[in-house]
Amino acid sequence: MKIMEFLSHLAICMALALVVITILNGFNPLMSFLTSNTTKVFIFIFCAVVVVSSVGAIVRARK
Amino acid sequence: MEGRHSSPKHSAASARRAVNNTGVSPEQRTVPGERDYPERIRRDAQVRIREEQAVGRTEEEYRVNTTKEKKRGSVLRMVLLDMLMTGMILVVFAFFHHVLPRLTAGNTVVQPISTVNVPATVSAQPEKTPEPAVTSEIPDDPAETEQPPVVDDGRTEWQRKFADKFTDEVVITENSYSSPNISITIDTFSGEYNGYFQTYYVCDIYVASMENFQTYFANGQYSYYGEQEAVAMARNSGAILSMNGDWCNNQKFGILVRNGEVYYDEPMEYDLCVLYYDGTVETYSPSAYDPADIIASGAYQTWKFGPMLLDSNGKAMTSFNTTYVIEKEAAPRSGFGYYEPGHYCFVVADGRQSHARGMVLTEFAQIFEDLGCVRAYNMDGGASSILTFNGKRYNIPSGGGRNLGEILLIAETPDSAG
Repeated sequence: MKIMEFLSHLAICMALALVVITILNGFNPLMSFLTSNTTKVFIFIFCAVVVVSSVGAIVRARK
Repeated sequence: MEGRHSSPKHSAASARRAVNNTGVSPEQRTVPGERDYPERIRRDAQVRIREEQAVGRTEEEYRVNTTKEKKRGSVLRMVLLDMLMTGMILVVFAFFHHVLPRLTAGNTVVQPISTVNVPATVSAQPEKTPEPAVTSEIPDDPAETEQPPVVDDGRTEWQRKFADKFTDEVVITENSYSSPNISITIDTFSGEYNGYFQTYYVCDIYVASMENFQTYFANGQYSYYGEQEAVAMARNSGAILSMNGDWCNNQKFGILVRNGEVYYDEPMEYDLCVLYYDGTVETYSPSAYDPADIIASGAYQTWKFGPMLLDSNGKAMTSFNTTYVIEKEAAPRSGFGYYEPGHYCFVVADGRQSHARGMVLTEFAQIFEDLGCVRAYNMDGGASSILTFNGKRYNIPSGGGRNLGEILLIAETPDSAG
């Protein structure tokens, strides 16, 4: 449960970070904030965290 | 953690309930298990209960308020921790996105992959015509060299075309430079523009040859994340006039051609600007060009920051292929304009300062239309907008400016400079 709670918080934080990165990209798209390999890895991790925490939330809700 | 070995919160609440039900003061009441707690906790609980009773709250209200306070504190702590974690994530991201690539690739020099072949029709025209035969028969008496050439005057096509702009000798003033190969005049506009106080600089440029229009990378070589102070770059490159370019050093997309050298050719979703060897300039939307054609047509320089500022009729565009922030933010700007082969302009607008608000893109595009340019292209802006003239900064960059990745420059060619 502690892990699931942590993943939920991590998902929130990564989503906020992605919002910040998107805003930064608007200021200078040539800095490749949204297209760099680092960002691709970041988005992949974010998706994984969201999937795990969401599945965990559904499982808990069904118990 | 001291003294919290057997759910003290629950026991303390029970004690308060017991007090409320019986009407016996806390001092008189002996709560089961209370003796297990340290004296300090018991005393604190009694003090809180007395305070609550003093302000007329019932035990139930006390419990509700206490629970709300705890929840509020818990949520606040959670939000703060989340904010902290978000900050940490951004720091880690910045490290991998900015710092690590600079550390690993900052000194890696990138060599061009090919050289643009100058079209035969181009190389025959704007370049200087061959020196007359008299140069191979230079007499000992210098006076005899003043005789006019017999066959040709040795001038390029552009030197003849813009003869009234060039001078036989180098003439330098505070805001102008003229020589047999270059003519530069800088006009400074400072005043109200579209209802705001603005300061911008228009550099009217005539060159005798395409060789007088060059670009220069930081430290003289193209490297990822390479950067250098603008004045140092201008001095190292021999620039008479220089303006920041499009900051191509930290990404790899689009076509990068500099001084006729091709560095890479990758897909791109931004507008492209091409200066050809024949002196013409063309701007392209992403879907409107074929990289192979551009290189085969004799591309001399390409830029890819953008967007293009004028349409095909030379009218200022009202919507641009860029982000909302770049388009709408009033910021320092740098742009490159084209009138005709051999005749160009650099425009730099100060911004984010008391003497200059900065411009949105529509305002900046309007300047080029008013100047009569037929093509214009936006370069990197903000603190990067730096104009140098005769080895000194000419404008007042926002925040003191920053190091640049590359510059556009006007310089004498090596053979003419000496």
